[in-house]
Amino acid sequence: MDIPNNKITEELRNNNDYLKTSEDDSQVYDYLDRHLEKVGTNSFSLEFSKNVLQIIEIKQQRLFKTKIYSCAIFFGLLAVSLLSFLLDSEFFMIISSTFLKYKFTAIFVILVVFSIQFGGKLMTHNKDII
Amino acid sequence: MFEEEKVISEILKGNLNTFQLVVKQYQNLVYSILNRMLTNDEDIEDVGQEVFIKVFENLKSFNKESKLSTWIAKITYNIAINYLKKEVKNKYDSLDDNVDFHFSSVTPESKLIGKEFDNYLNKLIRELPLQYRTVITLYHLEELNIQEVHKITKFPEGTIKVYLLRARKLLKEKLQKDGYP
Repeated sequence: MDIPNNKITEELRNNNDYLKTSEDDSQVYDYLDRHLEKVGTNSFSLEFSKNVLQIIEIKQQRLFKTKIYSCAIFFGLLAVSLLSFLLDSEFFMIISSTFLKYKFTAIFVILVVFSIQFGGKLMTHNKDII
Repeated sequence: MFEEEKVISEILKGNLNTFQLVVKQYQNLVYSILNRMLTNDEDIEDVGQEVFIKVFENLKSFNKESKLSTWIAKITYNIAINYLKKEVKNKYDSLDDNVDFHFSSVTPESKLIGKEFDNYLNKLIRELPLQYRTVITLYHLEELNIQEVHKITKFPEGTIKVYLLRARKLLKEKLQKDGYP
């Protein structure tokens, strides 16, 4: 059988089938195997890995932007429909007066959320640099 | 030293720069497969990029049942086959035992050595029918065994052995005719 020498298992070695190959043939096979198993020295261009990462980064950014835009559109539509519904009602007055009453708490909460987001991003960025 | 598990978990955590290690580790394997399976040199780089993007996107689903190299080889094979499908009408060449296969490459005037011989051998492999080309490439690179080639190509193990036998015989006869070794 024409099996590369390094892939002949013990079982095959005991069953001497592979010895049926003539000496001339086995010489050529050995020569062929040596070259077939060589992972060539040729490879992709030097910039290959950099290009792959760039493409992945662009794809991720595109995906992130799509998600953000979809969210913005969804919440925008929701806000517009809600506002149009509440604009003339008394309920709107109640909501706005409550917001004005607790405006500092609301601003504080928003600022905390933003600083956590910003801090998280800063930490990930520094980790990448390291 | 390339620590497969550590690298994978880093990438899954979102560290994109670590993926560069995977690309550098396996780019020679991917190149060697594509170089033998695709016939057009210009497409190898583009298809190679597609392979690594696919690897990145599907890394979450890598279940560690096989080696990472086998998994990447499988993705490379699938993408190369899909690419070839677009080029040729039929996925595989019809392999009729009664039809004699002949290499179109002419015997080089002088005996080739080193890199020139490797290029000549690659040229001969590229001329083989796709099935032969595929199994001989996968079997001899990265020391994949018959079972691993079966996992990648889904050819029955017996068929793989037959393809290997025929492909190796064709190459042997051509090399003998050319006066090697």
